[in-house]
Amino acid sequence: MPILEEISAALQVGNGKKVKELVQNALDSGMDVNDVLIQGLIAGMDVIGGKFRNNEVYVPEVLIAARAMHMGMDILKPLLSASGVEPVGKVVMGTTKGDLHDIGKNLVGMMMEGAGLEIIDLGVDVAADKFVAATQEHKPDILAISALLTTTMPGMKNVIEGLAEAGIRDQVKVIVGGAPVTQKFAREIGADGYADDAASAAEMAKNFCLAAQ
Amino acid sequence: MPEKSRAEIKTERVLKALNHEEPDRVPITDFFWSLFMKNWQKDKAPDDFIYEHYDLDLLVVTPNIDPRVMRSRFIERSEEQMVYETGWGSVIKRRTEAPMPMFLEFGIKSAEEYASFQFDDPLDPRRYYDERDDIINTGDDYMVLPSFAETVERYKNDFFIWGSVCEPFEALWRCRGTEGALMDLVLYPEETQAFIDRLTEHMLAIGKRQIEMFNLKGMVIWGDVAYDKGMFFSPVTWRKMFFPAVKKLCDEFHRLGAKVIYHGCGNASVIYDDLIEAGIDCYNPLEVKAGLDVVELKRVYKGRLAYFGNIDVRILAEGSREEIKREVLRKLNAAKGGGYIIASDHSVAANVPPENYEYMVQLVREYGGYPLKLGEYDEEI
Repeated sequence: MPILEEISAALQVGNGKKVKELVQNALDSGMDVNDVLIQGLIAGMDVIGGKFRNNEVYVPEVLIAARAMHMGMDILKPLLSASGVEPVGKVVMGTTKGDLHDIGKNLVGMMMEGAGLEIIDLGVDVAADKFVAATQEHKPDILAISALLTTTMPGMKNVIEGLAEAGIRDQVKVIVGGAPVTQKFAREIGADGYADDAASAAEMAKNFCLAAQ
Repeated sequence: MPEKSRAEIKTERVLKALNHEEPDRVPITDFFWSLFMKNWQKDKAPDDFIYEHYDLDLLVVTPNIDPRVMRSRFIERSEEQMVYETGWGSVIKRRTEAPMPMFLEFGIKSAEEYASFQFDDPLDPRRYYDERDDIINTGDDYMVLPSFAETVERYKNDFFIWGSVCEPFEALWRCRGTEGALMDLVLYPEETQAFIDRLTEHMLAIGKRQIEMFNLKGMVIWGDVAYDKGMFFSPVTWRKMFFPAVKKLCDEFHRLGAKVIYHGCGNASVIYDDLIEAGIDCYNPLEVKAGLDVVELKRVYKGRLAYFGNIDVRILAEGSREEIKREVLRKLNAAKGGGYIIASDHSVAANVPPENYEYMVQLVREYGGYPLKLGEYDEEI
């Protein structure tokens, strides 16, 4: 099996040690760092994301694959920035104020990283003004907001209003998700996109970034 | 013959429904968040107990089922937030404005620590006779509740009282954290299975004690193994690692004369057949946002599984009167031939206006008497 496929396969079964070893071997053999990233790590996460969406694998497999991806990324990151390779896009993400659940958001973050996006994770229980300040500071392409509870979901609207008040609403695409969130709700609050699951969120974010380029 | 107590009437009503027979009327109950209760008391009845006020049928009570018998140990406590260690070994941060707690730390930090994690005696009287923090159920507020025994004693003539325990995955993540627990199921199945078995024995002993000491006829198993899109982990893993535990709990509780309700959020419909085989009598809460519809489920599992829940809280929170009426009356179709306890599809939080909840109860009182007459909302089952 070609080494990049081997990296992808090792990542899919969550063998981080092997991913690390293979990534190093690939680089030592003179492969381009961006190829190792895209055809190795990202390709592997893409397969996991698709299987996750189809209920062929579940949350544990995604967590384990993402951990393996991070072990490979640890080697690639410094080389990518040294060689001036830019990520596909930048995402600022977090859960709404009052919402302390983070598994869903973390899964979305893992899938987005796996799609080649740079993630700035503000964590849980993020107030609207913090989302706005982080948008001003990091200038992301995407602002991704998550809520698990019907009681915290309205916080998403406050973020979008905050962006408008700060005059930066048109500078960022806002995507929303989480169990109680629906397409209808996303439209009503003026979000740019709604994703039904983590893999779709990553795909949507990537497409927004590619369309802007 | 002495007149039946309200509890006896309610017990008969609920048991009949769980046996897939039509009682006098559709049983109703719910779980309420403390901030909703505060709003409700302010708007409706300052000194009333909501279960009493609406004459609800079931009351679920949980003793101290934590691995360790201890009261929460406060590390920080201010107006805005509190940080405390619980009997699960976890450290929880609770902010006044946030409805759910955040877990800062878990009692078990790696799969190697499972074997050395200690459980206190499940029969320790303090679990049943001391005031409780009720880590599992207090929701959006920190509350010290009267003891299990005192609560059962106070309400035993008024409601059909159910005890409760955790199913082992719920207990596992509370000790180890969701991400750690999920990865351990795949990476360290043996160590994790050994711990699941210990958790099962712990919960089994606590459940049996509740039934025997307080002559209970029902036991709720709190078990969360799914989210809105499906199972957290593979159903194959669930069948191998958790099915035997759930079956054991059901077998023992049934042997002692108690019915079993399984509470599982999200969409776990892929294991409903297994839960039926394990002996579960009734499934709660059937979240609408997870794509569950009790009327459709009734058609599939008619007579094999009873249901409890499924009234969309999003409609209770924001729906018009017409929308609430449609939701309640359509869902009442699931009560044809018994087999349905009407309730919200998880719990009633502070975003539900008290008058909307009251309207739901009024509708159930008006249309929930057997034989059901649902008019334009009637559906073939």
